[in-house]
Amino acid sequence: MIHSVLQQVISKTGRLCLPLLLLMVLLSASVEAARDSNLEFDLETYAVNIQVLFQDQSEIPPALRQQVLNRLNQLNESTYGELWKQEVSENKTFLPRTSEALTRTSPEQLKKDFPADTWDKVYLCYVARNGFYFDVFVREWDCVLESFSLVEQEQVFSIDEVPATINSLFVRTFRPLAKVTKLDKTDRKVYLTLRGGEFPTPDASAAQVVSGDVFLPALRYMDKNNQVQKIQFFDWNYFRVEEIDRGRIVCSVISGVQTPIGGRGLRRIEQYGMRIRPLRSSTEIRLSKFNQPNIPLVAHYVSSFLKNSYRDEAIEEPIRYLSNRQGVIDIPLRKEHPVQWLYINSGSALLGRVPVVPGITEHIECPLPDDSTRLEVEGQIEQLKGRIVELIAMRSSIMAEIKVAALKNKWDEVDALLPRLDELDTAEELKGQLNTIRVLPMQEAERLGNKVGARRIDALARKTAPFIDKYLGSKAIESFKDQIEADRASAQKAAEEAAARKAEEEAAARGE
Amino acid sequence: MLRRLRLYSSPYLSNWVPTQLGKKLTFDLRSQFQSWEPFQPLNSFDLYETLQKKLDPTSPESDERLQNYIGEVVIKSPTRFEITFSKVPLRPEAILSFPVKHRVPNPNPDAESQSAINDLFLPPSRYELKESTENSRTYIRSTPEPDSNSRFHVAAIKEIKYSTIEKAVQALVRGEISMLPSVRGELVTLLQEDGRFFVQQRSLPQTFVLQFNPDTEMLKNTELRRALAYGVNRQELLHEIILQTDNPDLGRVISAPYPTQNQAYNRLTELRPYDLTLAYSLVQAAKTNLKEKFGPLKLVCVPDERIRQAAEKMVTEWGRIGLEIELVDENAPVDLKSGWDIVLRQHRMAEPIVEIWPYMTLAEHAKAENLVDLPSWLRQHLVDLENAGDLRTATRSLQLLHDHLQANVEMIPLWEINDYIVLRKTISGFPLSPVYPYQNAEHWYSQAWFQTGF
Repeated sequence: MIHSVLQQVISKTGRLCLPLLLLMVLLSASVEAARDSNLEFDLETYAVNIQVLFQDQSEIPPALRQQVLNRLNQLNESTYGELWKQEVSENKTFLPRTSEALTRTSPEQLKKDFPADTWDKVYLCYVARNGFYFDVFVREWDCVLESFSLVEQEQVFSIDEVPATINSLFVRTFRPLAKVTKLDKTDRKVYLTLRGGEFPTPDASAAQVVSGDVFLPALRYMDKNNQVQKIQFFDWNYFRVEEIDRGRIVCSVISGVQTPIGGRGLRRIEQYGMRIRPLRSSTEIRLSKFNQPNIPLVAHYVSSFLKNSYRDEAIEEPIRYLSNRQGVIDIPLRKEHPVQWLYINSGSALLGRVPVVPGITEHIECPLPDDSTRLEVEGQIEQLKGRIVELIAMRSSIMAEIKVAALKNKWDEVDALLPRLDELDTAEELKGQLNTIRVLPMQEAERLGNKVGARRIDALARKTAPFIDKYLGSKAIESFKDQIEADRASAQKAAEEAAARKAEEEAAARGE
Repeated sequence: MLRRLRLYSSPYLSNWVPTQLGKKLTFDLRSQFQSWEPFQPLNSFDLYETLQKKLDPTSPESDERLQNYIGEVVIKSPTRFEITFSKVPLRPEAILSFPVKHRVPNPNPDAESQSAINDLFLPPSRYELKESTENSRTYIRSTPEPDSNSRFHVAAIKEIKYSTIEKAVQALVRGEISMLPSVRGELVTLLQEDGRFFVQQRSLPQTFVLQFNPDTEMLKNTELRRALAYGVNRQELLHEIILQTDNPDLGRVISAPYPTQNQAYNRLTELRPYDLTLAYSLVQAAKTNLKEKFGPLKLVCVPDERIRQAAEKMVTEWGRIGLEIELVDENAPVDLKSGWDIVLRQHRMAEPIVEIWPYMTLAEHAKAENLVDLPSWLRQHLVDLENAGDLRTATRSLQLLHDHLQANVEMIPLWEINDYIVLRKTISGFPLSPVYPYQNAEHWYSQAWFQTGF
């Protein structure tokens, strides 16, 4: 970067301006020192490029702008000391010259203008007059992990306050880097080496890391020529700072999965952590189906627990949120406990359990297993259960009618009612229906890779099967029929005996 | 959706044209009205303002469904505006059917405040209430017709309340009134045979449904809901009390809360028969399951004399199978928190695809938060219906929903009744199959009537 500027200075003016050249050479030397690759990571400082855009306004003349830049440089030194090797300059190339320049500048452009082998951090600052005030915007670009911070904004009364405000916004948006040195899966601990950790900041409030801070894990995939192929951040995974010993940090792993980062075979993969602090009061989370991300999960309950690990007890009662029609919930930041665990339910089934630190981003997508097949099966099983209940009630009422008829010795009526018992659906038929409900959706869920859903469908069906056997088994009808037949036989016997007695009595009366 | 082509119309719109496969809808507003038409012209800004209120989540008029569908509203001119949908709705007219208030200058403005803030927003009104007593209300045309007209449209409408429908029919025959807005049952046949009246069938039938309060724990028991369904002799109540005739053209027993003529009505769904013995067995099963939770219930009924009589009969029948149900006073409030357990509702559903969600949640608008009281499978059904990409999928989804609602007794659909508007033949200019009684009333003519036939 410096060299290209130098070439421009020589080629454009056609002659060499000696003081400018000397300044360039000095700056180049200081930045190159920061890029010494033989240094330990905690001894490496940050090469920081600060680009300040001023709105095209007569209220901020060039001399005043230079004053702002000089003052900013001084403040940076007093805040970060040896940790930062910064270069502060006014940017006149980014367009439009509004605050939108910060959001519209593309990662590709920044990668080209500020290569990762020269710079670690780039700060885009924008200063504009707004009535009686000055608006100040700052955004950080991390050249190593190729990511932007959120845009931070402040309003000040005078131009004199601008450098101090920009500097305080640097402290807010600065995202220090750390390298993962060891991952202890048993204790779920991760050991990090903090970049420039051996250079404590002169200003204690600008310390890179404090206990309780959170790191976002990231992987940097390199090719054979040590060129970056891909950078991957892991949503829903965090390292929470437990112990700090200058550049050595011990963190607990907060993750919904067993191994969030690390493991074997990580050749040519650099493992990083990026310290990030909440800058917003809440984060919007959109719940969607993982196989159809455009379909939101509407009216799903999400419970938020304040705890650091899913095994821990929550420190207070969970707060319940309900996803809206866009499948969005807004989780507010709890400053006293930034890490929250979200339990996402679909009816009684748990769809997902993820940790989140609200406020570090404005929006996160949360793809979840498609539960619609299970819900469809649940509806069909409810329907079948209803049918079973009706069958039980119908059978009871027919049996009651038969009993009444049998008691009254109305055997013709009994004979008319008994076949109605056989007309009712049998347990075998209902089990067949249950199997039909179960098999196809289970196969569909497995086809979609939703094994949990398939297991849940199977469990739902398995729970219903004993219900059928218990209440609609054929034994109950057979024993009832046997009892009726026994009653009929005894009634007939009694009738025959009565008839015989009557015949004897009549014979006796006739004197035979 | 009905077998006949459903047409929407608005006196304020000259046309609306969908483009980009329905993603965009361009509306053209009528800029001029006839001198006799009682409409205050609307402009694009009035509509934009109304839509913005509905799209603003913080506004009391906020409409969650519209927010989900509408991406952008652009004013092209004072009489033309465009709506771009972020998601193409299956029935755009149905979701955009709402009254629009127009801005008028305040006749008594506050001198200190700005003029725009002083403006009043008035709902559209063709006829304005002039007089109201306990038994009558008089409305007059909001824009009087010019004296130069050779023929005058209806200038005033007087509504008179009668204690019974028979007295109302008597008044019609005597010439006290010229129109009855809703007549059903055997009276329809009598009036059709009379010859002095136009008897026009309403395009949407009345549907009567028993719905359960989602907060009532006892009614979450499926056996109890089934017992209630089996314990109602719907056929007998319809023929003997409500219609007082067994003419199937005038009313029928149904299994879904929307018209049987709708293509989403699943004709394969079985009607639940009247079976008091089975209902008794189910009540016993419910008692066993509910234990101490089993207790008396409260039924709220629509304020309709015949329907209330039928409800009284239902309560008696339910009493025979061991259910203690109290029929609440007809003026009792019917909001969800007012303590009722079952409600006998009357409605006309034109677009079940759009209307079933708010109907099931007993709410005015389709809100996601209202779904939480429903079983998860039913919630999923309603969301899937909302997300259906084409009419065929939506119809199939609604048919499935019909089947599931009936099987799980999530509500008890009772009757569908065809009611009629009866007008004396001195009235002309009314539509042939009206959706509502005063449809196009500003176009009607009324001629003098002299009693004859003595």
